[in-house]
Amino acid sequence: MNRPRALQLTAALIAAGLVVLGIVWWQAGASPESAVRSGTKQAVPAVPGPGSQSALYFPAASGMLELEMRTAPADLEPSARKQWLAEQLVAGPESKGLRPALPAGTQVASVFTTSDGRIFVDFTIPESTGVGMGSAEELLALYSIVNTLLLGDEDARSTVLLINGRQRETFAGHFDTSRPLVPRPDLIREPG
Amino acid sequence: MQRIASSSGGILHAVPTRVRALSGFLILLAISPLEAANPAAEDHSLEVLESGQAVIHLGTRSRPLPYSRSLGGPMFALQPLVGLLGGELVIGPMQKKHELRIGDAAFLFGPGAITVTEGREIKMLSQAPVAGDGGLHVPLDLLESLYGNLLGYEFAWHPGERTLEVERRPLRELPVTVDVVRLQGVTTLVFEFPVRPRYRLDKSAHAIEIEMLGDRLQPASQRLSSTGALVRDIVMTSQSIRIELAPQTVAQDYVLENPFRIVFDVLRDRSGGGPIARTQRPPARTRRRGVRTVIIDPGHGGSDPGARGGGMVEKQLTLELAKQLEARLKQALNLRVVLTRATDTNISLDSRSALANQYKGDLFISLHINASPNSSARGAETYFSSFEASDTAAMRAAAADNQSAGDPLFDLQLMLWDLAQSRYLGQSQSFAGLVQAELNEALGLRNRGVKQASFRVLLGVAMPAVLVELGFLSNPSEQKRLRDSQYRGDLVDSLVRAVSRYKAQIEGSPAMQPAFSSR
Repeated sequence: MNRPRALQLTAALIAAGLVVLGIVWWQAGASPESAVRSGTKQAVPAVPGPGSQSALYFPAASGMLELEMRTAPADLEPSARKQWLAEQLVAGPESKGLRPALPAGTQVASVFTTSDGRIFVDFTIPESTGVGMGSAEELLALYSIVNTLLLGDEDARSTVLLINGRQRETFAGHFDTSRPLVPRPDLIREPG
Repeated sequence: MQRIASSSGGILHAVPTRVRALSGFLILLAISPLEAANPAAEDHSLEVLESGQAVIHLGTRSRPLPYSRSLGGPMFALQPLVGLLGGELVIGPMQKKHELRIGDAAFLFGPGAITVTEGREIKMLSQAPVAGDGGLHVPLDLLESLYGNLLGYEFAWHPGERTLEVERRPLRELPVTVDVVRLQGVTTLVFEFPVRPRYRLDKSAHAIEIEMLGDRLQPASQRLSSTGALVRDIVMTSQSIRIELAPQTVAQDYVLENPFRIVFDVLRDRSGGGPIARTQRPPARTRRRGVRTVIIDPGHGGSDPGARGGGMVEKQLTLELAKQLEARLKQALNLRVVLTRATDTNISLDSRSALANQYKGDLFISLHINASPNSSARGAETYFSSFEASDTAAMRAAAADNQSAGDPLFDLQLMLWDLAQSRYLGQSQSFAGLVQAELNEALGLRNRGVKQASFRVLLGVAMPAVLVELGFLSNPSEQKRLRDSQYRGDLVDSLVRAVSRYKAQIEGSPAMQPAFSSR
């Protein structure tokens, strides 16, 4: 190898080394602020995550409440999660043999939770609809709501049911709904 | 006149001085039968089978104690006991009248007499005292009346060893909470205790006193003055609760268990009668004992259709059945019948309960037809209300939840519920059983049984009350039967028979034949 060619090769290697060092410096030597910005950008997933499994209880042809699992969005705050559960109840069951707990046309007006674990859920039911249930149906409808909102949540203690913005003496002409309701797991049919 | 006295007075100051003031005249009246010593008077003494010496153990002390035994059990010489336990025994001429004074209380009894008298109260004894070695021998229950309630002594007889163990119960300090509910012209006072206290009620003109017997109250002193127009004052000390009533009022008292409560309903006396006589419970109920007015509640109505099935609607069926039942009860049993609704109209559940109370019903029947997501569900169910409902755990948790949250409205509702329907739970259950039996036997319906649940319409009803589910509109075969007027007539007849049998139970009169005995 002649001398000028050797110098050119050495200069190229040095230049390549400098480029690599520059890249490494760029990556390693960035400021914390820029790292946060970078991280934030990278934390937003292009596709939502897997979410979490939530239990809903619907009246069933067995004459009891039966379980239907649904995937809730993963990033829901607790209060938003209760709202989502109530909306799922209103949307009705997807499984065969299960019945809606609430009459057609029902909407969720609001759901909020007090610091002592009492969940207020307000359903809007068109006055003209009329709930129209037998007592066995009403019992399942009530505890479809109560069990779904409370079971599995250690912080939730009771549900106050509001219809069209106010608490009523009864939901469908039988049971007392003027007091907060607590879960009735005994109304749930064991799987299998 | 012989006197045997003891210096050990115990907590005698617990007895109010008013008893002493009252006692003179009443004692004289009560003594007279014993003083008369009429040889022809009935002697309730039982034959003495055995007599001898027993031993009494009181703390570290032991003493011989003459005793005797009859078929009614052991009896013990009273005089040595008075020396040990306290009090003053005054024995009348011919050893007939015995008066034991413990503080301000005076008890009268005697040989051959089966009763003991204290003030206005007369109690039956298990057996009459008899004359024996060492003076009058008295049964254990008399000792408990004399010394147990007032001084807190407990007695245990060991026949094998012939020993009478006597112990003094520790003094209990009991917290008491007071609730005052004023509703529809009635002031209800509720005194709640963690356990049943030893107490005695003393009722006089315009005042009631709960005297603690061997227990003390916490807080030691309290006064409630803002109790409305019917109750002037409530004064609590460590030994008594004194309730001052307004003039022209009457008070009915009763107790509720779990937790233990002494309850007074105070209302205006519209009869003009004297307050002492009128404080005996329950004058209003006594006047209308029996079944004269039946309230029929056709379920749902107006915009609330209830269950639907096979083209039928529950609100229409219940109204039709209610009208038939009204006619049959009037015709067969000559009863006054009131319907909570006679047309297809909205009436709130609380208004139905209030209407039933306003008409002073003796029986409340709410008629319903059921529906279930399970189309094979069938049969009749009869419900009565109870705080100890089938959903006990849920109810208890709800109660605890609300109490901790301090929900005054809920507390009030619980209170009203307790005070209204829970007083009639036994009668409601009894009537529910009759209804269910008639429906099962007469109609061959599947027996779904008598149940309890928190039906709102039963909550505030102050009379025996049931809710009947007369079948399932969601079941095709029961739809068909309910469409049949003959079948509906049979349903009504079953209810009429149940009312008739319940009426007979209450009034002791002949009833219609039950369906199953005619088969």
